[in-house]
Amino acid sequence: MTRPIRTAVAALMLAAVAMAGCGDASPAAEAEGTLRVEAATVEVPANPEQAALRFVVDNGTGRADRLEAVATDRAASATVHRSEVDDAGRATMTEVASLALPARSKVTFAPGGLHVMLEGLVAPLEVGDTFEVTVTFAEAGTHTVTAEVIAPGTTPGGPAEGSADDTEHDDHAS
Amino acid sequence: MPADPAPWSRRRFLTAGATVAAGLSVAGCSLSRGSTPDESRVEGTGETDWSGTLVEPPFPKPAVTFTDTDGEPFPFEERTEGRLTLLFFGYTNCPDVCPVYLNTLARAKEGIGGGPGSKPLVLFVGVDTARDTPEVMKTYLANIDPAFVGLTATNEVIAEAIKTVKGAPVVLGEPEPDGSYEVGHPAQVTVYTADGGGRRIYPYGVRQQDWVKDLPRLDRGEYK
Repeated sequence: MTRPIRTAVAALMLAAVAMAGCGDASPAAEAEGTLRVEAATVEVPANPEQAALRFVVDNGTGRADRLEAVATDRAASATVHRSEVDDAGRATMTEVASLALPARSKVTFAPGGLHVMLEGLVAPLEVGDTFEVTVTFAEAGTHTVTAEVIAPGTTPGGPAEGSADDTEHDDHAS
Repeated sequence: MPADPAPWSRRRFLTAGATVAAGLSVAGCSLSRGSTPDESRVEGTGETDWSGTLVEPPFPKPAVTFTDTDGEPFPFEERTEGRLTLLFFGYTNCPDVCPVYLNTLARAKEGIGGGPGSKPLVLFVGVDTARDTPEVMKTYLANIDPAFVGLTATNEVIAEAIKTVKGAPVVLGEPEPDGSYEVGHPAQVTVYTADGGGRRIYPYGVRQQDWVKDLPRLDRGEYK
């Protein structure tokens, strides 16, 4: 019902943006959605020094964003990595300094793919513990999410369930 | 990413990421094509209900001696004789792929409960020789399944063992300013049946229920 009005507003704002020379971001589209960090979990690790934190970033906004940093006071460092298997059948991990989050997409951190490597854990992680994690985005600013410690091998989307690509676009998902 | 065209990649060991799936299917193909006629072939599973890939003729066991987590020698052929044996090369500063492999196996053992396949000999070789000390390996595996056996060796012995299962050679990268470095390790579990043959390899992404199905059969000496 409100679509014609919204479109009109969007058109006006687009025009304003174009005049201001602010690139291709559309504040109207952005206003329609929000970026959320959800389902943050970390399994009790095998190595007491480090663990893998995983979550889902739902970029419901109409503009592309980037995940720039993760921090928690439970670890000395928190860096995004992606596990991959190369053409020779070799498993490797690569740091992802800035993770692309396309507009209206959901990026899932899952076993064998994206994860936040927590190094220098300050205390053992026990099942049921929760702790705060701050996630900083280039556009959406800093979000705080509560991560829950879960039992080994119980992350959703692991080999127990299988999963698709990291990035799911809204137009494909629905 | 478009659908993967490799026929056997559609099978149930599809992985946690399309990128990984693509890598594995390429890896599988190159393994097959890279074999000369007198070498073992790693073949797609076709329409069987097995996970992983069949190796024919089977891989021999590596004629090497590792060191166990008590610092004692572990002559591979002697210590695995007559046992269903699962061999995996990883490292303890690996927070993702290695624990996923190992936890999946540990949970599969729980799922089987008792009887054939419930007590495979799972061997985890630490390829990051500077950091994967026997003590560190022991702690790591105790947090996953204390029955799993941690093994260490020199880079040369590890390279020789990996060659026998046609695994991708280990890569240990140059240290970054913060002291971290890349570690690349073969993304496969090699399964030896009790008769000593390395019969199947399982890539990353094999699910617990697939192991629950395959391990009892493997323990009975079936492999295809």
